[in-house]
Amino acid sequence: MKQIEQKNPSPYLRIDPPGEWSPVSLGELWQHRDLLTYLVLRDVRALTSSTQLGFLWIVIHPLSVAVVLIVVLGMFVKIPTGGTPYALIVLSGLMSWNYVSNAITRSSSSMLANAYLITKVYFPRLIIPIVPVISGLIELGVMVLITASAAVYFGVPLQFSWLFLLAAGFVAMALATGVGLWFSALTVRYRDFSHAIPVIMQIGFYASPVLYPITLVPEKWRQIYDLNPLVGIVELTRWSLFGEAPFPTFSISTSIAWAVMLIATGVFYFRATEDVAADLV
Amino acid sequence: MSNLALRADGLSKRYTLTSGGGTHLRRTFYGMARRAKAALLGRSMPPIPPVGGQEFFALKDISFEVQHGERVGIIGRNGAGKSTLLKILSRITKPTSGYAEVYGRLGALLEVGTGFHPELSGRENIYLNATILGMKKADVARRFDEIVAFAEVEKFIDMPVKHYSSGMFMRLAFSVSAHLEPDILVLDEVLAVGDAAFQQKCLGKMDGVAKQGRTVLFVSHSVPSIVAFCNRCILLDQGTLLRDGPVADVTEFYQDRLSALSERSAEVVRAELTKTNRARFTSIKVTPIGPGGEPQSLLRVGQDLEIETTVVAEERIAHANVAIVIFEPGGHRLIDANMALKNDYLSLEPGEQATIRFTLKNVLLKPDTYRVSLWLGRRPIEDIDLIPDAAHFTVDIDPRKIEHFQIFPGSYQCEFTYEKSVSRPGRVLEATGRLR
Repeated sequence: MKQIEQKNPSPYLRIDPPGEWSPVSLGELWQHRDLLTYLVLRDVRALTSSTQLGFLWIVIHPLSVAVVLIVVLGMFVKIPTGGTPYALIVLSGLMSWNYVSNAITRSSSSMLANAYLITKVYFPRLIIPIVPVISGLIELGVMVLITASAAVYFGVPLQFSWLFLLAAGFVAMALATGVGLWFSALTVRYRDFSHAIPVIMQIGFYASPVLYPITLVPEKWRQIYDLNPLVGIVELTRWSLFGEAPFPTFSISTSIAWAVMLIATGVFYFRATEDVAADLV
Repeated sequence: MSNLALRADGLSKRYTLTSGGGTHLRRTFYGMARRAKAALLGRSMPPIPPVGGQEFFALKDISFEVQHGERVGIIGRNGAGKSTLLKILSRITKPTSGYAEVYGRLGALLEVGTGFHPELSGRENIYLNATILGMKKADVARRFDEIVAFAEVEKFIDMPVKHYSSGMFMRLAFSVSAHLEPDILVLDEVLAVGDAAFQQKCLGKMDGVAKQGRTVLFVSHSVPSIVAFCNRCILLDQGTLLRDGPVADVTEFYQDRLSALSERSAEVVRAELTKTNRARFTSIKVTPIGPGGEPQSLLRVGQDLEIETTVVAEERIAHANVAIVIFEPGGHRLIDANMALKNDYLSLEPGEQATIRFTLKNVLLKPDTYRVSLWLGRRPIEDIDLIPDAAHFTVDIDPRKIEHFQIFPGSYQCEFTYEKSVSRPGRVLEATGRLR
């Protein structure tokens, strides 16, 4: 076996100056899939270990935030929900928002955070912004369980539409990847983005239907409001869980369009940045 | 069929110095605005002048070829471009111009333990580090026991590495690196890890890798490790390729060049520890003597060393002895040379000055830096002058003599011969062998 390996003709590699914009080599990415696995493992382990409660923190953190919001906004402010328990509105909103915003934030800073790898060894850099998108699925899974339990508690029947949660999750992953590609590359080139991204995310939190049902958005603003790619994801999540509104065709199409467009362009921009990343981080 | 492993053709790397990381956002917007304006107005704009002109070439037009099985050392002072060349060949960064071609799987080790995470267990870190270095999970699994055994951490393999001692950590990190099996191995000075015993083991392992006929590029600024490990050497200086050839030639050239750049012989000594004011040392000059008897700036193992000192008398001194003592870096007294041993003494009238020159023959000290102290006096009656730290000299390896470049611990290397006889005392064994 070993003999055969050594007799194989040598693969040939050419190292050139940074050239024209070119797409990512998917084959090379596939060759490094094991690395992706271990980087995700590293992230997950860093998230949970060296604390007494470990994995429990993944549950405690979002749950305590949700409880505060439910008490303050649901019981004191009494945000009108049109019949749906406010707890479900908040949990389903946080579920989508936490995942997407965590993935984007971590992905954006990932190139700088992994500078010690980038300057020491070669591998397809594209792996780096993708890792947080995948490792965040652990937290998303926990949120899904919490939200689903709450839905059952509030008497929502288990139904076929719950399968659409998978679709919402998939769109969320794609969107986070697209934004992550752009932001991670931009942060490498312009450090200003590491200040700008928290601001963008803060605005995004209120510009997305996380704390309130979409019915509170004035009808004349809906067209513009729906351009926010988060709207489709949150709406699809709510539709799947307790389908009170019509299927959010327009907003989810917008989300998908954003995701596809950002990934397609982001891959090229990231590739162009990858070549100089080791010199800039 | 060509046996080419690697070709570099006109490799250059230009860096632009900016304050902080990244590029300037404002500058980019400015550039975009200018281009937009140019496009709108339909005429070309001159390029924006670089900010402060802070550009420099870390590498300038480097070309060389490496055949399979060659062990090439890349040597040069700090800032010569060694690391940049390494980073280009290992694909970490791209050249500004020129290209390189690699024929075979290239594995680069710029440090050991890249990506090790303290919270992960030894086992998980092996997989993480190995996959970062480009190995497949299945390959790691196949060599796993070997890696663990080499690192001697079997008992702790499922424990987070944050609980490891630093020695264990380094051993594990090196072990993963040592079990990479690329066709072309690119190494930075990562060998200097762990305790002496483990270093020997590492060097042995590296030597084994090289002996399997694998191609090695080894970057170092240490002549001894390059000479011990490589058969060819490339000398870089300020980003250009200065010399490329057999390891002895290039390293010898490099040694001479280095020593020419640094002033080695101390002309005047601070005579701060004068015991009496009757006479004192005023200067010391340490001059290595080349094989042809000519003074040179570099002392290689086995060459002669001239130490010249002057004594000035304020008062009359009679029957005094002048001595030089050489100490090794640890402070142990190694060599004594003095006039009394040659049955001579020094007598001076006030105002007189004497120059005394000792020539140490065939200095077989190991490569290191040694201290010279000077003493003037009459044993056991009085110390007239004593300078414990009068001068230093450095012994360099001789790249042309194997017994003088293989560095073993210790201070002194003597010439030696040996004879070998092999016999078979075990007639009994032979007999039992036949019985079977």
